[in-house]
Parts: sequence; C-alpha cells; structure tokens
Amino acid sequence: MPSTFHGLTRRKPPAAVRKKKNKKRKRSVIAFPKMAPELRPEVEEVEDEEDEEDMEEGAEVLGFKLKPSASSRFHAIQPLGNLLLLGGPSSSANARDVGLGALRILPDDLLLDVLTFLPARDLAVLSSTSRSLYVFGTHDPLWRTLVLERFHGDFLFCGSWRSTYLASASRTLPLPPSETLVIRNFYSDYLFQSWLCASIEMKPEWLKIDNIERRRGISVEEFIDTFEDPNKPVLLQGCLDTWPAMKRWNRERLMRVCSDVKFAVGPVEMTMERYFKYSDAAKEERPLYLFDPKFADKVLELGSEYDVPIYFREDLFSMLGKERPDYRWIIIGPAGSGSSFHVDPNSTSAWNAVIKGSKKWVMFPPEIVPPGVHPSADGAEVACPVSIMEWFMNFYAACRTWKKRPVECVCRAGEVVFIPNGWWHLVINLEDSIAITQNYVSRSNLLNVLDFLQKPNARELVSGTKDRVNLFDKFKTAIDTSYPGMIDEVTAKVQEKMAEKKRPSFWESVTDAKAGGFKFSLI
Amino acid sequence: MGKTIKLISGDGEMFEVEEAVAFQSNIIKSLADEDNADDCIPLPRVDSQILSKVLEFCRKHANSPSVHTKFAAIPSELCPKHDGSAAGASSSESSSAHSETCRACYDAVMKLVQWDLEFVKVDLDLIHHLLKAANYLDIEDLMFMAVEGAANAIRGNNPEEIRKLFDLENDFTPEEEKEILKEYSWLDDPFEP
Repeated sequence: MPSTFHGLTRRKPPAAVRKKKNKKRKRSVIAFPKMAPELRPEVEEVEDEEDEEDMEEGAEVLGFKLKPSASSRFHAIQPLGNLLLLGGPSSSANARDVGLGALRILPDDLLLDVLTFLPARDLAVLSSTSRSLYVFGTHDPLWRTLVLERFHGDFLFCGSWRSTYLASASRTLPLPPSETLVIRNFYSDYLFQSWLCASIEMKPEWLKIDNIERRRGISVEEFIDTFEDPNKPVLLQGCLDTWPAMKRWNRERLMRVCSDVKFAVGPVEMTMERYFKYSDAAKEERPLYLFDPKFADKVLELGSEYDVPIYFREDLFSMLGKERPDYRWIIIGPAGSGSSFHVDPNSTSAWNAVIKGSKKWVMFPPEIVPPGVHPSADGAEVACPVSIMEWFMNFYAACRTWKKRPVECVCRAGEVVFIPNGWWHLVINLEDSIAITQNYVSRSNLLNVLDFLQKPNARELVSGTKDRVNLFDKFKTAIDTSYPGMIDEVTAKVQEKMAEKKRPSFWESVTDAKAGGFKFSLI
Repeated sequence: MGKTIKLISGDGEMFEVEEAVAFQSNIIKSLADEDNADDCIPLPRVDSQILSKVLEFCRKHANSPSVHTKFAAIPSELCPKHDGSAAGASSSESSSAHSETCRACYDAVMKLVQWDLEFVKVDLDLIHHLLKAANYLDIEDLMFMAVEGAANAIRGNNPEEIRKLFDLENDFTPEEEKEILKEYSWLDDPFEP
C-alpha cells in the first residue's frame, strides 16, 4: 500500500537544488528496565561473543531473542542506562563523548543527521578520526543511502551496506567483507535501540492475539452484507486454491521467469536474484522490500498466474483504464520487512493474499489513531516515526488495555485479508514471504472515494497517479457513462440505511481531523 | 506591523517580533496558542546572541514557503510574480504544477537557498548553537541548514584537519588505525591520515 511512503517521503526540490534527503526520525523514549541484575548479565553476553563470527542461536538481550548472527559485525553498543549503573564517570567513561570533541553537545539523532549529508569519502574520513566517530560513521543505514544513490539497484549485497559500498566502489575485484573494529565502552540509547530493532525477533506474545473474523466459502452477497458494507475486516480462506501461483511461485522459478527484469525495491529497481541475495543477508531495522505496481506488465506470466478473488471483482476504478492509479502490487520480503501504520490511498479498500510465508497484521478502525502515530490535521501527512519493531516494543502494550482494541491476526499462505477503506493497518512479514495485494473501489465505498477525490487538498492527498486534480472528474464521468444512475442509486440506499439506524454510521462519526477519515457528504 | 510576540532569551533580553517570524518555530507557535496573558514567552535555553541570529533567519523565511522540506508545494499566492493579484486565475492550478513551471518562484527559492548557505558559513561553534536552538525551538528550515552547515565544515578534509576542527582526540591504537585505512583503501578517493 503505497500510502506508507506518501506521507514520509519528502517532496523533491528541482534538480538544481541538490540537497540530500533529510530523514528526521525522533526515537520514542526507550523503556529499559532499571534493574541492574536483569540488565547486566545479558549485555555482558554481547561483549563476550565479540570474538566469534556469529552469535549463538538463542542469544538474548533484554528478554528479546536475537536473530542468528545478529551482532557479529556490530559494536558492543550499550544503552545509556548501563553507564549510570556502572558508577561514576571515572570508572568507565563513555567513549562517545571522549571521541566527539565539540560535537558531543549534539544528541545522537542530530549528529546522524549531519552525517547523512556526507558523501562516502568524507564519511570514511570522519569515521577514522576517533573511536566514537567510528561507531557513528559506520552506522549502516548511512551507507545504505550511499549505495542506493550511487549504484541504484546494481550492487551485490555483501554482509553490510558499508562493505557493499566499498566492494562496489573498488576498481579491483570485490574482496570478502572486512571485519569492522569492535568499539567497547560506547553508550548510546539511540544507537543501541537501532541495533536492537535490527536484531530481534518478534516476541511470541505479540503474535498471540488473533481476533479477526475468519470465513471460508461464503457468498459474495454475504461478504458485502457482513463485511464490506459495514466496513469490517475479515480473513478469507480457500480463495487461492485455484491460483497457479500457489504451486509455481517459489524463488527458483521466479528468478528463472523474471531473469533480468528489474522490480521496484524501495527507491531503486533490482533483479529478483540480487534482491534475494540482499534479503537473505540483511539484518536491518527497516529492510528493503520488493514492492512493484507494474509486475504484471513487466512479466506477463506473473499476471496470468493469479486471479482476483470473487469478492473483489467489482472494481470501479478499472473503468479508468490506463488512467487508473497504481492498484496492484507484488510484495516480496524477508522476516522483519513490512509497512508501519498507514491508511490506503484514495479511500480505497484492499485485499492482501499470502502466497508464501506469513504476515502479522494489526488494524485500527478509521476513527482510532494508533498509538505512536501522528497524522496532520488535513490528512496530507502521517508521521510514523517509529519502525515496526520499535512500535511493537514501545506502543503495542498500550493499546492492549484500550476498550476498542485493534483487530489482529496472522495471515498464512493461502489466506486473504480484507482491509476496509479508511482502516489503519500495520503489517510485518514473519518469514520470507511472497504476496499479492490490490486496492479497489466497489459500490460500498464509491461515495467515500468520490468525496475524497473532491476534497480541496486532493492534489496532495491523492496518490498513485500523475494526474491528481482531474482524477475526480475522470472517475465521475466514467461511472456516469458506464453505470448511469449508480451514484444516485447508492446515495439513496445509504440515506435509507441511515434513516433506519439510530446510531451514526462509521462515516458520520469520523471527522477530517482524524486523518484517514473523511466527512461523508451527500452529493 | 501585525500582531507581535515577545520572547525572552535565557540571559534576560527581550525580543519583540511579528507572529509570522516567531511562528517559524513550532514550539513558539504552540506556546503562543495557549492562553498567555502577557504574550511573553521565555526561552531559557537560548541566549540572546543565538536568539538574534535565529530570528534573523526566521525574518528572512517568514513570508516564504518552507524551502527545504516542502519546495514542490509553493502555492501560487506566494509567487513573487503574481503577487496575489492573479489569485482568481491561479486558484484552479495545482500548486505543484505552478511552482514547477513558474520561473519567478524558482528564482526566489534559489535566492533564498543561496542566502541560507551564506548564513551557515560561520564558525562551527555558532553552527553548534544554531543546531541546538533549531532543535529546541523546532524550526525545520533552520535545522536543515544548520545540519548542512555542519556537514559542509566536515567535507573535503583529512582526518587530522577534522580532529583540529572539532578538538578531537585520536583514541585509536596504531594497529586499529592501520586496519581502518586498509578498509577504506577500496574507496575510489582514498585519503591519507
């Protein structure tokens, strides 16, 4: 669902104004336990392992299970709390401050912001000046940006982004990835949290709640009456049984069929083979995942090996033909990849079918903003400063005590999740996964979509198409042409329903101030 | 002069500025929104020397769109050429289309960017303080420029020059230094210590 990036990406300045993207990400306050006994032994384990290539399986930090080989490359960064626990500054000075000189007055996130502006050589120079700047300068996300900007999708990932850059930049043959120095006595909450989020696995208790409704083999009418019209999510089983993709889509075949075709991966395009090399090796807080809206155009077989489940076949945007916004994506990603909280664009509904692997979903209805998410008043931007892992660590527990709890589930291969329009959703792959997702407009949310497209700031909100302002006109014309009278019919039906019910409908209870919602207006 | 806001620096000096200037700071904006009897906002963490520099920046940016973060969305009402007089004609244009094609807007933005770059060509000490002030007061464009200013100070130097610049101690062992230089020798523009 592209709206994740809709709010988070910066608008591009003209080419002449060459500024690096300024990714501001404020970390939430980290709730580390203050008890020394709980804290110390586990962190010491990290230090002891430094000589080994990989961490032992089952290693733990702060009660979180670490992914295998989570910390072989990284420094024994510790949270700031440890420094306080170990007694006065003389006994164990923070290598951070000692090595930063005048820069030590800057908080970690600001310092990293400065580093995002540096080209590779300068970043390398900086990281060779002191131990502290070595830790900051080898922060892998910085090198990820450098790789993607310079090499786009044409790189072979080798262990870390920094190694990848160095190997790709080298004029000689790529060398085996070099071991970075391990710097100890470095205390930084920001960097520790970053390392932690990149290294931990999902906690079992985060996966326990599964309160979504499940149905198998229901009729289209039942789906519309029970779920689509009332705008409720549902997990449908048995819809993918006839899909050739279920049997045929595995890595080997996909790489063969897609060979040199490049697919959209974050800001760049890559072949499947290179993508898998990356996704197997990467240990990141926000892994790149393959998310391509043109997959069926690029490789015709892919489009022919799946089918829209019967419940979703009324798709009124299809009348726009080539002018319709992006509406279908193939999604491939490793464990840990996914989308943080967002609402799908243009007020459309969506379905997401898992072909391989499994996904964890957390969904909130339109009128409830998830904890930790900050939409702007006009809905044009959504700030989700935290990564998915960080959200689970710091915010998930909060909403478990709310009266209106989120809808959650784990969706496995062969199952489809229906995401009603306006619903907030977060999704994370629990293992290597391949999925297909589509957005659509049916009779049930036709009026909402028309309303949304008519909004005065439509040009900022509407996404997925190059011609934002005219989308409303085009769509309305297309509907009136192909389905004359439908708009009136639907409006009448809704008015009838509202007259019957005493409670306000979803639509009426939602206001503009809560992004993702919209004011329902009678046309 | 429109409505003004009074700000008090950490060392007790009072600055009176127009709302449009002060509200570049999201913090000041939200503090002013609350019921403040005297309209006097104390800023204990910013001293007068820095605050006056910050306000100089804000004054310059007061009537411009946010250059560094929202460039593509310059509304045509802010276009220097149109000057608000052609509001009727331009209201149906999408703002991004306007700024992409309007030469006057583009030039105005470039001028502002140049001014900004000069503004941060100052000594590092001042940049540090500007960075902290911009962070504390939540002024997006100043943050952006101060960060870029700091980065500019780093660019093009060798390790020894950077150590001098920031008063850093080289706390590597000789073996470690050798190791690091070996890693970075793969860069197409390697450097000497």
